[in-house]
Amino acid sequence: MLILGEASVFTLLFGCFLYSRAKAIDLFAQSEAELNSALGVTNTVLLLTSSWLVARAVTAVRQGYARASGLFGAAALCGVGFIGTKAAEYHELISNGFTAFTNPFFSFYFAITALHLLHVVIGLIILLALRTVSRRPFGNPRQLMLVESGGCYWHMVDLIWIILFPIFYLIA
Amino acid sequence: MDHTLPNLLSDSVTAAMNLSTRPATVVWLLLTTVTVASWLVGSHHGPPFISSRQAITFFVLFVAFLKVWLIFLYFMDVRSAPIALRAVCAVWTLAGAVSLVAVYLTASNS
Repeated sequence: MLILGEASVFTLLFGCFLYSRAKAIDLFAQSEAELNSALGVTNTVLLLTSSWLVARAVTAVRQGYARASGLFGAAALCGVGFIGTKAAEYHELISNGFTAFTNPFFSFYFAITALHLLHVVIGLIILLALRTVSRRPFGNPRQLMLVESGGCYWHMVDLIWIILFPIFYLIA
Repeated sequence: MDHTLPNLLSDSVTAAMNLSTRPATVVWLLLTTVTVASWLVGSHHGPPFISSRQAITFFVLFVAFLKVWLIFLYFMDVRSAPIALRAVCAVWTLAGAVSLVAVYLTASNS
């Protein structure tokens, strides 16, 4: 429920963005053109890949396989890649004179992506914790439930980006 | 080739594990391909079969929430969850898509 709640908050923000976009479509379309969609799609592929790795890792944990730890580690690396790519994108935009105060599009863009980035960082900490705890076989169902919950949190981070990316980068 | 019982059991478990992660792998390949293809084809001109801005927005939102549904089913394993949870996720996905489309339509036409 927490996961759906968080995703619902983001959906509400997306709704506010789309409403504002419809009211100032030319300004928003011009601003969208300033985004680096190649970095955006790179981030999408990184998060999809990390989500896939987490799904495989949780399956491995259920089956008592030690390689779950490596899979969580690989997923975390993808998360680090996402943060690096996002930093590069922010740097490029700010260097070109676009900040959260430039216009409503960029206010939405920086606010929503920064909030998502915060969730990525939290998710990364969770993945690193899962990497550590999954090094040994689990003794009780509660431990497995915690792993599955941690995995679901990361999938939520991916899921939010899956909606965010086309709304900001692909609608021209 | 070594056909001792421990090795046969190990091979069977490995095969079963590969099978259990295969749907997620197929979905990952599909989602990645659709993402890259939609970026290559549609990022500036929109899909060739859709001409209006509104229609492009609806198409993009539809594809996005379809991806969300696949993530629910195959990454979060909702497909093997109790029916109540599957229903909640399905309703959330549908409500999310419909509400965003409704907001956009309302704002465009007002």
